[in-house]
Amino acid sequence: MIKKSILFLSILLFLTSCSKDSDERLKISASTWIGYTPLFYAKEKGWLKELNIKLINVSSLSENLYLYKAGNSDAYTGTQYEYNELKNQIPSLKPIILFDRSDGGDIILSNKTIQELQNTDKPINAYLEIDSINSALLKYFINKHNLKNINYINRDQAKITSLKKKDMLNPTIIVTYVPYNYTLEKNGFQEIASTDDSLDLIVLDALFTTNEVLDKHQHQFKELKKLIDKSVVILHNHPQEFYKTIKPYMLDMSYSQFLLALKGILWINKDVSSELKERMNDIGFSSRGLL
Amino acid sequence: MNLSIQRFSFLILFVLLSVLISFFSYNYFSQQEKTASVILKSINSQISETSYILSKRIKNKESVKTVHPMLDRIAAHNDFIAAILIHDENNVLLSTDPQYKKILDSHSLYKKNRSNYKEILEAKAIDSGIKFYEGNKAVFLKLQFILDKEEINSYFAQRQVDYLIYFITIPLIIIILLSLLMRYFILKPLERLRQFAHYQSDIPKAFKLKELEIIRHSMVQTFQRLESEKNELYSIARTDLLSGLANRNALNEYTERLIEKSKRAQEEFAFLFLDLDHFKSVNDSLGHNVGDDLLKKVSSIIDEVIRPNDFVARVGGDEFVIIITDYDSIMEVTSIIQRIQKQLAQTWIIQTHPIAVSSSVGIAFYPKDGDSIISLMQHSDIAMYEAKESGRARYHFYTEELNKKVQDAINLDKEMRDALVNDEYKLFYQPKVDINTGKIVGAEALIRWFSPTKGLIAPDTFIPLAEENSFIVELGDWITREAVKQQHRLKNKGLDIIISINISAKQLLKDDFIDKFINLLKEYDVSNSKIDIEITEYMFFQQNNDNFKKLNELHGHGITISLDDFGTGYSSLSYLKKFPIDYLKIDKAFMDDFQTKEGSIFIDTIVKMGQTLNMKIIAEGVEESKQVEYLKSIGCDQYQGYHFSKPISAEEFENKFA
Repeated sequence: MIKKSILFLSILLFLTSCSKDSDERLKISASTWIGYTPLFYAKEKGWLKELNIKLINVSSLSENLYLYKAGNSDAYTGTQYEYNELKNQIPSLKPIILFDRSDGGDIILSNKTIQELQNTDKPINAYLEIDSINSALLKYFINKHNLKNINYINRDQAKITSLKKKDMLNPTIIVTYVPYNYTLEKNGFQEIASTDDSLDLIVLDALFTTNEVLDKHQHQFKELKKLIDKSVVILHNHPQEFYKTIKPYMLDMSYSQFLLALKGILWINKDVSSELKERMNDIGFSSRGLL
Repeated sequence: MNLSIQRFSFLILFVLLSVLISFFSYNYFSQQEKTASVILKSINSQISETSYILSKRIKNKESVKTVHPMLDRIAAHNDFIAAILIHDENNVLLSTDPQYKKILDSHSLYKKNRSNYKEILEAKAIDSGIKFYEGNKAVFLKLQFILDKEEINSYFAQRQVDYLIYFITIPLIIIILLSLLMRYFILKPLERLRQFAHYQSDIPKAFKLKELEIIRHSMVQTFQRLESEKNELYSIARTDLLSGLANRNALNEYTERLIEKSKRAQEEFAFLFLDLDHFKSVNDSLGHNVGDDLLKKVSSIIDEVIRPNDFVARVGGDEFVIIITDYDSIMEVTSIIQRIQKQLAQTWIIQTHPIAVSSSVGIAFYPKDGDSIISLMQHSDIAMYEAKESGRARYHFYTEELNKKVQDAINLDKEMRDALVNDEYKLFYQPKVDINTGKIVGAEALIRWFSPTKGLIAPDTFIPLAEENSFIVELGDWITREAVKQQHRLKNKGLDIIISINISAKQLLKDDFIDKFINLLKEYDVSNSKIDIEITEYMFFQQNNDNFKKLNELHGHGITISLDDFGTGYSSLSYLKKFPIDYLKIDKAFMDDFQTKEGSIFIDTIVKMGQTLNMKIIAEGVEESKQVEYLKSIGCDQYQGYHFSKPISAEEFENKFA
C-alpha cells in the first residue's frame, strides 16, 4: 500500500512539475533610447530568446508606461519620472537594473535662441510627451530661463519628429532625446539645452518591476543583468559591430551620430558611485533593490 | 462468472474514470477549438480595423513611417502578435520588430478552410490589404500581423497542463482515494470476515461501517455459540453421564496418547481394572436407582483417592479403569490400590439402605503386559477375574511371577517392620585394623536379622526393599542409635575406637537427620570424631547437591566420611574432589584379584590416588596374610576382613577385643 502511494505521488509530482522545467516567459517593454541599446543588442543576438524573455519595443516613454500599467509587460524601462508616476499606485515597484544617466542625451530644440524666446511676445509652442521625463526637463528649462506664455502640445516622439522648422510660425520648443533629435535637427531645429552641464538636472534610466515579478523571474533578471553588462562591454570594445546590430532600432541614425549620441549618456549599469547613490535617494530613486 | 468485490469496484471505478476522461477530453478539445476561434477572430477584427485606419492615414509610401507608433502600440498590446509588417509585395516598408524583415509567402498565411486550432498552430501570419489614394490613383499595400508562435504554443501548452492537472490528475486522485477508502472500509473488512468464517482464528475488531459491523457481530456470536456447543458435545462424548467421570471414548484417547508418550520416553504405566464385588445383587435387590447412586458414590471416592495426575474412567456398569503413571515402584502402585480398596470397603448408606462394598482390581503394565489399549484392557480384565477367583476384595497382577514377587515383597515388608518391633535385628561389628601396627582402630556396624521362623535373613534380602519403601529411615535410626550406644560401651571398656555406620541417602536427606544425629552423640557422650559415616557411590547421583551439603555439614562437625565399595559403582574423580571423603574403601572384588597383574595395578592405583587426595585407604575382604603383606607394601592404611575377624556380635566384640 505504501509503495503504491509513493509511486502515485511520484507520478503526480512528475506530471505537475512538467510545466516548471523552463522559466515562464518574461515580457519587458522598452522605448527607443540610446541608453536601452544593450537590450536591443541582446535581443538581436538571440540571448533573450534563450532566457524566454520577450522584448517589446514602443516609440514613446509614455506609451511604455501605459503598456506596463495595462499589464501587457512584466517590467518596463524608463526614467525616474516614469517610475514616480507609478510608484504610488504600485508600492512594490522598484528599479532593479540601471542603464545610464543622461548627460546630454535629453535635449531641448527650438527654432529660436533662448534670448529670442525670453523676449518674444508671442505664445511659445512647446512639443513634448507630457507623461514623461520631457515634462521635468521643460519645467526646469522654463524656470531657469524665466519663459512665459507656454502653449503645451502633447505628442509622441515619433510624431514630434515629423515637425519641420519651416512650418513653425510661432516660437517653438521641442523636448526630445536621442535618436529623435537627429531628424528634428535635420528639419531645421537647433539644440538650445541638454542634460549636459547646461541643464543641471539628473535623469536616470532603469528597468522597473515589482517585488512579486522579481521573485518569480529572479533567474531571468539576474541573467539579463549579466547580458546588459556584457553588451555594454561589447559596445565599448566593438562599437561598429554593436551599431550594426542595433541600427534598425535607432531610426535613421548614422554611425557617427551613434557615437555622438553615446557621448550624451553615462553608463551606470555597473559601479554606481556613492555620490550618485545619494542623488538617487534625493529624487526618491532607491538603489537598494538593484541587481 | 464469479467476480470479487475488489474487481467489481475496480471495474466501476475504471468505467467512471473512462467516462470522466472521455467527457473532459471532449470538453477540452471543444474548448481548445473555441479558444483558437476567439483568438483568431480577435486578431482578424484588429487587422481589419487597423487596415481601415491605415487606409485613411497613409497618403503615400513615405508617410507609412508615421503610423509606426500606432502599430507598435497594437503589437505591444496583443500577446499573440509578434510584429506588424506593411509591405508592397516587394519590399517591407515598416516593421514593428526589426527581427521580422521578410515578407511571408502565401503558404504561411492564415486560411479559413482549416480548423481554428490547427490554423492558429500552423499559420505564421494573418494579412489584410491597405488601399489608399494618391490623388485619384488607388495604391495597394499589404498589412501582415506576424503571429507570436511561442506565445500561442505556450498558451495552449499551459492549457494542456491545466487540463492534465484539473481534469485527469485530480479525478484520478479522487478515484484512487475512493478506491483506498473502499479498500479500507469495505474490502478489507470483508476479507477479514471471510478469513474469520473460514478459520475462526482471530476475531476481527469492530468495523466502522454499521452493516458490516452487524454481520461481524452476528458471526462472532454464532461462532461462539457453535464453539460452546462443540465443546459441550465433545465433553458429553467423553464423559460418563452417570458418574461424571471419563467414559470409554475418553479412556481410548487418553491411553493412545499415553502409549505414544511412554513409548518415546521408554516409561511404563499401570493399567488397573476395578470391578465392584456383588454389584449385580445390589441392582437386583434394591433397584437400579440405588445401584446408580452407589456407582456415583464409588466414582467420587475413586476420583478423590487417586493422585491428580492419575486417570479414571467408568467403562461399564460397575467397571472402572484407573491409569497410574509416575510411580517409583510397584509398591507405590499397590499402595494406591490399597487406598482405593480401603476407602471403598465401607458400609455406605444409599437411599437409607446400608450397603457394604468391596472391589477387585486387575493390574497390567504397559508395555510388558500389553502395548495397546485392547491388550491392556484384556489382560487387566483377566487379572481382575483372578482377583475375584482368589476371593474378591483384593488385587491381582496379570503376570503370575510379578504377582508372587509383589506378594512376597508385601509379606517381607510386613515382617521387616514387625521385626523391628519384635527386636529381631542385631548389629554385628567387623574390626578395622591398622596395617602397620596390627591394632584395631575401628569397626563397621553391620545389620543382621534373626527371624524366629526363617532364621538369619541376609541384609541383601531386605535392605533393597527397605530402601524402596523408605523403611530404611526407620531402620537406619535404630542402627545409628545402636552403633552410638556400642561406641559408648566400648569406650567405657577402654576401647575408644571409631564406629562406622552405613547411612542410606533417604536417611541422610531427612531434614532433621543431622540434628538428631548430633544430639544422639551428645546423649551418649560420644565424641564426633569417633563416628564414621559410610556412604556408597550411588549417593553422588541421587540428590547430589543436597547430599553434598549434608555431608559437608557432618564433616564440619568432625565426623569422618568413608566411601564404601569404591570402584564398583559410578566412580568419578570429580566427585572425589568435590565430596569431603576421608576414607576410601577398596571393595573385596579388587582384593580377591590382588595376585594378578591387572588386579594389583588397580589396587596400587587406588591407593596412590587416595594418598594424593589426602585420603586414607581401607581394604575390605582381606582374608589372607599375603594380602596384608601386599597392602602394607603399597602403603594402604587399614584393612578389614576375615583374616582378622568376621563381623561379630557386640558381646563377642567386647569380649574379644575390649
